[in-house]
Amino acid sequence: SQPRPTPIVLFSCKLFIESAASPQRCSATSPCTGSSSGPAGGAVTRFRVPATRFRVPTVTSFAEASVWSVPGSGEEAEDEASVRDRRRRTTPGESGGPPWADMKTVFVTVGTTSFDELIESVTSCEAAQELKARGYQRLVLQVGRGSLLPAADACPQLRLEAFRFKDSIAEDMRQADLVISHAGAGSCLEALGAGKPLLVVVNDRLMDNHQLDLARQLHQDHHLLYCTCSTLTDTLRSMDLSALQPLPPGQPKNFASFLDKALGVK
Amino acid sequence: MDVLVGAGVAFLSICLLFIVRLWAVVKSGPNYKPGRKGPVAVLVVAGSGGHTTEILRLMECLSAAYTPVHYVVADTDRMSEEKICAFEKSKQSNAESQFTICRIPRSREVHQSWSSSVLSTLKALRYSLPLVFRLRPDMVLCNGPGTCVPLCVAALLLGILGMKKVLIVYVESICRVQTLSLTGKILYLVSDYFFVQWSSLRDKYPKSIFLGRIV
Repeated sequence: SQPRPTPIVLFSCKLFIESAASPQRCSATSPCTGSSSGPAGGAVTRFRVPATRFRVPTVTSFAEASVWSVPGSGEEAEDEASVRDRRRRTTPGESGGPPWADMKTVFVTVGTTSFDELIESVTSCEAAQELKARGYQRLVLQVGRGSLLPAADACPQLRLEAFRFKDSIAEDMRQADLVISHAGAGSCLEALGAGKPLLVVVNDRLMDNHQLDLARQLHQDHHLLYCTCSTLTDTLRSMDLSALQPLPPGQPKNFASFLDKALGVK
Repeated sequence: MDVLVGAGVAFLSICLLFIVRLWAVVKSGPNYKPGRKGPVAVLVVAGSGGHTTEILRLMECLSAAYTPVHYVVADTDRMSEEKICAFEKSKQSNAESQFTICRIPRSREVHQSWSSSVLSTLKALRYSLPLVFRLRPDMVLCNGPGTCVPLCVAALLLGILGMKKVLIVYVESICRVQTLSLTGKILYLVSDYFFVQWSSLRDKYPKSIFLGRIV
């Protein structure tokens, strides 16, 4: 029997609350607000967060993009090994981590969908051979609702790990040197926000949906590579990851300042 | 016979009055500056999943002048409430911050048929009207889930009845590159500030505001 999947929280928040005080809650029908709510379904929960010092939490947002070198900018184009080394130097130390932390890793994600064709294609002998030829040693699969959950020995060339869902895939993204993803917006933006080279595999069995628009646009702007399951092996053989450009983060401050001016906020 | 004619005329006049009032309410948007009188009460519509994440990114940068904040989530959505609580706790503020989370029935589940969506949206409207009439926000902020349609209708009604002008601020999702979502198409004409995040949409919808990627 399949385990119940837990929903993925794509963005993780770590909170450190120094005070032991917990927020007070009162519902609209309890005496403290003194008024009853409307129809039964319109329950209101009122939170009052006490004035206590909170340590700033680490919010992993897809806006944190690290920059890797762009050829033609005067610097020598880095090959993948030195990019990985540089990134490892600039990210928090992995000393004392698990033994596979130093392995060059590919992370495959299908989000909350099911995409058996991709899982099958990426674990096939030909694709695994191409990944091994490029120096990848470890393959992590997030299979979502798919019916295929490969065992660890399904791919003899690479160290294989597979799971359905996690509360957060931020750590898997951080450890990856290449991300292969379905065309979902959340997955694409999370991978690009983590600063990882991204190969999007389009599910051509699905009806054309608007999610493809974003992947197509990002591909046109040279932020990711694009292929289908049938062309996956060829793409893995011929892809040039150094031609990809990092995606600059969104600027919500522009929205806030526009709104302040429009609403006359002092 | 005369009664029928009379009733018909009355009905048509009410419809005409309604449309004229709606037009007046929508036109008055750019001149309405609630920030001048003090804090701006915001009603934030948190749809599920990516919608909530995007709207919280927008809320991150809003100043302390936007208070109190009322979040509205669909009743079948567990994750959004946790995300909102975590987000509010993480906002470093010395003053006491106050926010509420309200639940209303979902207007439309993913892949729900259009005919049944009309019924479920009307059901959601039954809960949205008293909620909005009670909260009386200055501004409704939404970014695309079906949940926001009944809430925006209720906000417009507040203005049409002359009770309070409520600004409707709509931010289309970053996923929408070439086409607007259904909610976007519905709200494009009646919203006061309509943001898009790709230039191709700005060209197709001239009334929209393009500030680049804001999420």
